[in-house]
Amino acid sequence: MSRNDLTDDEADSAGISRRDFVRGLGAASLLGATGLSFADDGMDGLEAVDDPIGNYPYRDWEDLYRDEWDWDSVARSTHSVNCTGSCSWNVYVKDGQVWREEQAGDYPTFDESLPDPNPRGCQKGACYTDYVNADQRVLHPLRRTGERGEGQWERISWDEALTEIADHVIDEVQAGRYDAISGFTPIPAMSPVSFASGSRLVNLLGGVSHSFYDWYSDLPPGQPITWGTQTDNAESADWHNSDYIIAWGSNINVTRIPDAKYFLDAGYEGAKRVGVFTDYSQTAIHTDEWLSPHGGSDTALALGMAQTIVDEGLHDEAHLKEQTDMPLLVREDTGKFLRASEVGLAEDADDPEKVFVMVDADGNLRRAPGSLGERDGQHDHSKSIELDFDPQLSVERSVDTDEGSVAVRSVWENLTDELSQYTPAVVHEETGVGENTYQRIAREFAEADAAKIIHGKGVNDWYHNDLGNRAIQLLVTLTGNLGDPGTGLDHYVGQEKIWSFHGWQVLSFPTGNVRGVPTTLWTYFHAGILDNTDPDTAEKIRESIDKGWMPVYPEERDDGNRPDPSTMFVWRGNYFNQAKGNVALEEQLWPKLDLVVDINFRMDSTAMYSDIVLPAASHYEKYDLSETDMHTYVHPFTPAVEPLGEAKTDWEIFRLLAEKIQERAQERGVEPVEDRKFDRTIDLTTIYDDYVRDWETGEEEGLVEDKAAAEFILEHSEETNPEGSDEQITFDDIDEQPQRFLEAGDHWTSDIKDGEAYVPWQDYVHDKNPWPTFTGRQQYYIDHDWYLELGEELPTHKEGPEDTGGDYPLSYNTPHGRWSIHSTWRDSTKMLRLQRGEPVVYLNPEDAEERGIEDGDTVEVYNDLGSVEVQAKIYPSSEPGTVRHFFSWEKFQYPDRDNFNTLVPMYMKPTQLVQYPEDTGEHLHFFPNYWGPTGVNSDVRVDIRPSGGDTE
Amino acid sequence: MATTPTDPMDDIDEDAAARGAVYATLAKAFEYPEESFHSAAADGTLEADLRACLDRTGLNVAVPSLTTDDDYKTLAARYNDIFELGYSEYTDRTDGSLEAEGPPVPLYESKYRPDHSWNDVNLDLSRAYSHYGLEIDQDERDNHDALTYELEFAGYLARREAAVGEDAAIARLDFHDRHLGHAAAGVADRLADEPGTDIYGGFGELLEAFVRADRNDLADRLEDRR
Repeated sequence: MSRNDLTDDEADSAGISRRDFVRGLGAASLLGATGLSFADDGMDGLEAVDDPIGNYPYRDWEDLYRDEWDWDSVARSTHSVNCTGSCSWNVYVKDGQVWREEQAGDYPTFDESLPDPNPRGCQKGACYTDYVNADQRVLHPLRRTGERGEGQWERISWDEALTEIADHVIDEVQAGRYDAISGFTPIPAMSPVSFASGSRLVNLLGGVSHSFYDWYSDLPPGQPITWGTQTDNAESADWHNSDYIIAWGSNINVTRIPDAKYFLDAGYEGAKRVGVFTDYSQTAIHTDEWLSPHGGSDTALALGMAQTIVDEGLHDEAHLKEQTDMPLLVREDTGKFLRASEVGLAEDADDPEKVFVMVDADGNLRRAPGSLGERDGQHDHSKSIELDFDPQLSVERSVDTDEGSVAVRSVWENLTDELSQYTPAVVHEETGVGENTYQRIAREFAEADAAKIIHGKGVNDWYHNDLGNRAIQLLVTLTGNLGDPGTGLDHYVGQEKIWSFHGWQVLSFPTGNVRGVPTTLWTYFHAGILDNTDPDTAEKIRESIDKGWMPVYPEERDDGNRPDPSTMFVWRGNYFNQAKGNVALEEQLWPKLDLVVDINFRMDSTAMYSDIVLPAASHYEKYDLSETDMHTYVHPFTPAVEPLGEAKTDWEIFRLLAEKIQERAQERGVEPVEDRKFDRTIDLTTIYDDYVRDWETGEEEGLVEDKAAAEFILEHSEETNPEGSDEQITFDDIDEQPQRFLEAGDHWTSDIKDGEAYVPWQDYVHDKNPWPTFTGRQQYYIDHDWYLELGEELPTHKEGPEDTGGDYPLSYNTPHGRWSIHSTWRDSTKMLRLQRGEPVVYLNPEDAEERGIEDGDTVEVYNDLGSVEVQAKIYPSSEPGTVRHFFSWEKFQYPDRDNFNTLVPMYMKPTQLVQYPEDTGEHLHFFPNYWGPTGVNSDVRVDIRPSGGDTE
Repeated sequence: MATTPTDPMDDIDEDAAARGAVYATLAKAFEYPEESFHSAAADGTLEADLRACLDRTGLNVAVPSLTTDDDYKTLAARYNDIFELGYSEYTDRTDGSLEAEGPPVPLYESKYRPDHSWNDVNLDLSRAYSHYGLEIDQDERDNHDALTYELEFAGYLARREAAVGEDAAIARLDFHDRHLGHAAAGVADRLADEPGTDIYGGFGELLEAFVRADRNDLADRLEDRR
């Protein structure tokens, strides 16, 4: 065998040196294989960083395994999924690759009397590396070549993708259809920079930002109705401070894995823990006592417990008098609150018609302090609800008004009347819970020093969720369990709020003019609900839109026409897969969209049904922040490795799109467009400059990088950079260790205090500021015309809508599962191996036997809307009569691409479409994720049969 | 041929160099197609010159048809369908067995190593590349067990054998046994079962046959030295 005698860098007559040859440069040409020249320009993926002809004794390689536990670096990161965990992880990197992760375990302790906050994490987070390295990663920009959903794609360059999107967007804006451009992304707290990336561009375009908390039916409407606040929860560490905890439809051991220790630990400290679940759930098995009401009967159970508390005088009278609307007078003839203006009180108030009336101990009419009519807007902490008289709770009398004598009763009288219907016999009949059992639990709850309800999605997905919420809230109100450690009603469903609110808000919506939309209404409206619902609901939807209570975009034009939505950007979410009413959505809404762009690290169902998919960086490949209302810390994402393939961070993607829009707009010479609704001009020729400008300081190109955006949020938020303080939390600080927030901004209802777990409502309960409701008090009586018409002015138990999905014998619900966070990890091999590996329904053995179904059988679950084929699992813990389909399997994991939502029709409750007061709406007005119709789904009826059975 | 009897090419191990060229070609063939690859495949020069290279290796490997009638876009779409895009599917819905969570023919060795973890496969490859002073281009990085990286590495080792020293041959044999042999067989098997593979079906056959022949030849040559 002969050897080349060239010097190492000297080229031979063919122009190739030995080093180049080993690198692969011109090697084929040297052999004369010119037809292989496409492969003759060296190695593409591997790079020779050391001398390619250096000495690499082979024997060393055999010892490589010894180096397995060496790392080049460890980065701090976390996971940006719609999960409340916000767990800090260490990510181990070697040779530019993530190999594994480990819980960071360094949250600082702020209260030595509480259990150590460390570690946080769950089995999903522990295998996120699989996703980073997975072959289902989207690595290149893709353009659909077949029909939507067909799975036919071509790889295109970033420039081609951005140019195509930019030209489409420019056309839409120039045609005045900027409000036909939608951006859907959920949950800012899980990664606010990524949330802001697209929201910022959509905002600059004049486009539409979608709500998510109401759409996912995570929003408990009872909280804005009663407490005037979207939601406010204690952090989970506060569970430990409770003496009595009811987990009501909240499957903590499955859906709150990082926090479950506090629930268990509270038990060791002597707290009694009660579970209210229809099934003997994974949390119920760890409680001291389990109540199993019939599905959808939680309202009756709660009102029965309330009746026991009131009947036995266990209520907190002082709390009710000062903090609630119970002493307020209501006219018997109209059902409306008696206004101070009607009885000559409060004439000095800004609006005496919005001031309410109580009766003091001497029988005199008194204005109720803190009413809206004397406040400057919804939130006005210059006023107080503190009373300088002792109001009567029970009032039934007449009063002289301008119109003559009017019979009035206090809210308390009305409420006690309502509660009196819930006798033990009625409650048992409605709920199936034993008469003595629920009354004993009610007594124990009322008599505990600090009692808390952990309220979950299991009671929030029903059509009458607002009534259910209000009834359960009533228990903590009656007993005064608000505002103190270990108390409250904590609704941990979704992440409604972000601690660092202001920084996130001005980053996401720099213009200050937000075209927000309630996604449930937007989706169903464009999917044809007006032709597919009962006449009364359709009429109320029309009325709500016509009166401007709820917006729908594109808005109606002057000529009476309303264009269809044309464009949708989806990132950090799986809108198409998760949509209730998805049959209508796919058939009616989706075809209206001319361009659907999905930004994703994996090919989920929304990506599959999009037109262009842009490859996004994974959670270990970017900078961002992570927060949750389960704790009071902030910690970061930092890029452990470069994005795989051609992937880019969300911030970079939308920034590049802004740059391309500006470039193309300038080339095309487009003119600025005046916004129809807001006092602003949409100028696409400067949109990149506007995107990267720090609007707070005016610094040009101050926000080019995603890390700068993260620092911007920390800089401009009260929680991390409090006014009047030298203390500040920087990105470097949180990279070093998770940091506890320094303050709580105005959108929280208590302060963050050293040495105490966060507990909400102290602004009202302790500081006596008016609650942000019409009456300035916790408001259980709503005198809106629609509520009066529907008999829902007070919490009451109602049966849900009949035959939702058709007349079928079984109830269908779709709880959250253990082995995924919604659709994320649904396709993870590791997680699939921990379960049955395919969509599965849980059946009571009696229901299964009746239908000839055995464990492991393939079955069809069906109703009038469709049929889905799944595997049956016999689940003795289930109550008979319910099909439980743990949700969020991807459409493509079912044989016919019909998924768990195929069986769920479009339906929504009109009470959640209102504005209140009707004329000004300070108490209830549409605001994305604060107030809007919820996308409920638990009233659905189905049946089930072995696969292959007759459909008739 | 561009070489002449006086070229230094005479001093390079031509057999190993030719094998290196075949590996480099295979690496390109299993990448997302570029226009130049499509042109060479469409006009037949790819097949002809690959055949010529193989003739210079001394290996007895049959060359299947490696031409295509696809236009470029169709070829790219075919590549996507076969190698890039996928999702979870079930082969047997009664027992829930999972067929794949990626495309029909994944181009990652770990997908064909059911008895080895992803980490074990990739870490070993990471050390191998690193040992020879090679790194993955971070501008558009992929996992270490990507088939194209393995083929590039096989080509690199073959060229080292051709131009630097014979000890690379031992590494080549070991690399076949530890990695490339598994990946090549797995990819070829899947491709053989997949309809509509066109030119990629041929490349699958060639990949498996060539890697096997190279490996067996190395084993024969190095029988006493392992």
